[in-house]
Amino acid sequence: MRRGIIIKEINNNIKEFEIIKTLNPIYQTLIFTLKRHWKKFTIFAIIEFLIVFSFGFLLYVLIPEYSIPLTQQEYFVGGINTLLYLILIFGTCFFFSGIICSEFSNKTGYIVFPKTGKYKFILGKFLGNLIYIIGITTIYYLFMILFAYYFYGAPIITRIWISYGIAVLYVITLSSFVTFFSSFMKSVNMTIVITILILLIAFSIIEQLTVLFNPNIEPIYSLNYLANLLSATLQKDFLKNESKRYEDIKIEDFTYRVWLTPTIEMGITIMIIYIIVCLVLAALIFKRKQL
Amino acid sequence: MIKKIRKSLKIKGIFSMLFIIIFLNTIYISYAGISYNYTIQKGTDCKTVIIYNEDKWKNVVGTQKPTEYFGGEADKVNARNKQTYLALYDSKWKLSDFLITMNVLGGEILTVATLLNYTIDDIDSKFSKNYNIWVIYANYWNFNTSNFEEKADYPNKEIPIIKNPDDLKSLLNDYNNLIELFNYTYLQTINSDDFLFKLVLSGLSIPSPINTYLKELTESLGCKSVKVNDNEIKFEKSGNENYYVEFIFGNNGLIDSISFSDSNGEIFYKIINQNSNIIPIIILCSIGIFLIGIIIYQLRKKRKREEYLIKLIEKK
Repeated sequence: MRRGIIIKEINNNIKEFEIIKTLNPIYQTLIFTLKRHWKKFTIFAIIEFLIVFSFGFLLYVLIPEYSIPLTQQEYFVGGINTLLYLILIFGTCFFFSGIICSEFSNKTGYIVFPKTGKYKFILGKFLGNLIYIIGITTIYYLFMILFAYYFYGAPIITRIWISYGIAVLYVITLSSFVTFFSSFMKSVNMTIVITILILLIAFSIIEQLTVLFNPNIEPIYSLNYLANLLSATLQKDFLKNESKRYEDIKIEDFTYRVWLTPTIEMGITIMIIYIIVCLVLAALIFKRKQL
Repeated sequence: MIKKIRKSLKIKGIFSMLFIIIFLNTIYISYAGISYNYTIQKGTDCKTVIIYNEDKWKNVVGTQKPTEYFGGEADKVNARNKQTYLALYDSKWKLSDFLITMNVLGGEILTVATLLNYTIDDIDSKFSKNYNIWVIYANYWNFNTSNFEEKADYPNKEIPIIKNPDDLKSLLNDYNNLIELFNYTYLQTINSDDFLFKLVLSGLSIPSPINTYLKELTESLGCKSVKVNDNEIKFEKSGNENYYVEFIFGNNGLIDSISFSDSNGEIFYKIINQNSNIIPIIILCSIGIFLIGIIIYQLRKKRKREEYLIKLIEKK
């Protein structure tokens, strides 16, 4: 009886040990990534703060004629549409562009892969960088809320938290997208340039061409278009699916359709699909890649 | 070598401190006018009714309720209103602009004008004097006991700051001349005390220095039953009994508190300003101090490392 209990305990301990053995390299890599990139994060956070402080606070305080938006919603939409999208794209590209390819281009994979395991190492790095990029998003939102509180007082509209949730999901989508590119690109710089070009230019060109050929096709494939959800969720009736999703602009005989935003369900689904597809593809390419 | 590094660090420190001080100072720049400056800053003010003795009010003031003075649910204790200041512009207003914007002042007159088929252009052609003012654009939420709606009850409300207090005398003359022109039975000319009371009640903002402005204002109008003490202006009114209405202006030139008291000094109605703008500033300052702390820590760390390296080199 007593022997059985001891064997059970040993088995439990072995299981625990195995879990720790599996998770420890991921945890250690995560901590290593956090330590390695904290300066990058601090600089990014300071730049971000200066941008929000200058455009969301100082300009309004220093120029009396420069009116603050009429409502909190307009204030947040302004902050998200003009700056956040760019900050997220640049931040993700800088943090995730080297996630896989740097180990191959610098040949550092020779040292770390055998010690920690290929996938555990990349997973640890991915999570470490993800913490930072989510941190950057959080800082942006927190400062926006702080300045909105200064100008408009309480209560802060609760929809900002929905927008924040979507922003976090969007950041994970962007991170997966950049990780996918990092898996087959040869250098970090190339990954940065190409992903920024795709996210800032290519998507919008494809979007416009598709709408020109067939205005009924909603550009849900575009990460640019999905980003509109961040500000659209701030609209009062957005969750009831009552708000406008597109606008038809008539120029003489020609009608041009501008898609404003996907529905929240559609947006979340597409982002999750993006995350799964990009990460699976990245893992497959990474598996076949030779040092 | 160490001394040089220390010296350069000291110089860097002094320069960065100077930069921070100059930077912070720019936030509090106020813009100079001819003789008075406005001090209002964009942000939100919340006022709360903290005292309302209904019986006393009825006995002293009469049938007029607080809602007729302040709107909304101003006759309930803990009712709050909110005002968000959006922007400020330099402008010139005619008498008609004051009447349109300030309901307490112009409500009745404009109704009579409509009855007598007078248009705004007619009034402008007869009373064309321009008054130099600053206009504050604000969103205004009425007094209520529930949560504030997202959209203001009165978006983009205009609040004037009259640059020259002497202009008020001429404004009063224009106002009374218009009433005489209408020659309408139920519309009577008003004295300077009532005129000033109506203006203040409509939300007139005061430029800085507030106490000098208030004194000059009452002197130029020739007010009789109005007392000015520092940032306070006190009106003596009569209803069922004599009572006092006291307005205290905050440093931003806007009303900070309003109180109604009887001849014994007992307050039976009071509204105070509960400003919450200070919280974000405290948070910002904390973040600033935290960042400066990190920078100083890093600089010290760097200096220690340099000193250590120098010692190593010297030893070798």
